[in-house]
Amino acid sequence: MKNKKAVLGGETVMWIYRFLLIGIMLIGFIAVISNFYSVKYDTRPAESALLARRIINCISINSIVEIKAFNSDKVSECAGLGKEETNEIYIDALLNYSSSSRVAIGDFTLKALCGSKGEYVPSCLNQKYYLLLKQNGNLERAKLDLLIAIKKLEKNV
Amino acid sequence: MFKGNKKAQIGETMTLGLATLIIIFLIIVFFLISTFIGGGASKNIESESKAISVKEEATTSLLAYLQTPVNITINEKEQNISIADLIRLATANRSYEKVLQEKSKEILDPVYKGKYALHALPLEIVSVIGRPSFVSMLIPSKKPINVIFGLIEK
Repeated sequence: MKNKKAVLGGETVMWIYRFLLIGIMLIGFIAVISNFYSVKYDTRPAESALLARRIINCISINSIVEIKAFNSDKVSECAGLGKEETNEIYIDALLNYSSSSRVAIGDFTLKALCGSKGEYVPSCLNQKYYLLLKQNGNLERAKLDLLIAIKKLEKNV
Repeated sequence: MFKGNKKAQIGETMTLGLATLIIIFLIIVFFLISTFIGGGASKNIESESKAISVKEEATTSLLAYLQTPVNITINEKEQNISIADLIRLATANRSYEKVLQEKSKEILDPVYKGKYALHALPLEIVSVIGRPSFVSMLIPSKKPINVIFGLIEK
């Protein structure tokens, strides 16, 4: 009788231990998976790099820009921005040659936030290109300062 | 008999304890690995994007640089040639090296303010500080000339 009680007590302790072990394993499993998938991936730098490439390849052919092609309609068409995106993106292109020409599309307030630190700031990309400008059949040296600021916090972070 | 059973019980308990410790250790290791992989991937996106955008910037600028028309004096005659042709000329006649160097600085300095590296045989302008990202283009010639241009990754 005494022995039977001891066996029953031992078995109970073992079952408690087994459940505890399963619990630890489950918690560990959930912790590892949630830790891996909760990492925030900010894809905005990649988006701005691709957007810059798209704009440059669209407004220039072999690094030669035609002054007619440098306007907000063309840049907007090149960037392929929809109405929704113009509130989340700012593109500022300043072309300096013997004169200068500027194209700005989107929410200009994003520009002011570039360079500041924090969770809700846009991702900004500043590019400088040396280009040639074709005007009346002549080639002129030009410098393009391109700024792309992307907010899109909900979609891309 | 009793003594033997007690030993067996101690052995079993030790095995279970050790197994528990190994399981907890493995969970901690997997947790750390997942943190490391996740964080690394996030950093990779940023650095790869930067490298791509700098290379794109350098490629576009190098292409424009090679096509830039410049006025130089050849045999006491004013001529309008492209930088690519001037590089070919400087390779054949080293007396044009200085002209090439001056013209290159005149073109690239206003844009990159000296923060670039340019290597076009026999010309070498290296005024870069930091880790540059290089791109190159071949100029067709008797012996193709490799022009290398580098910009600093921001």
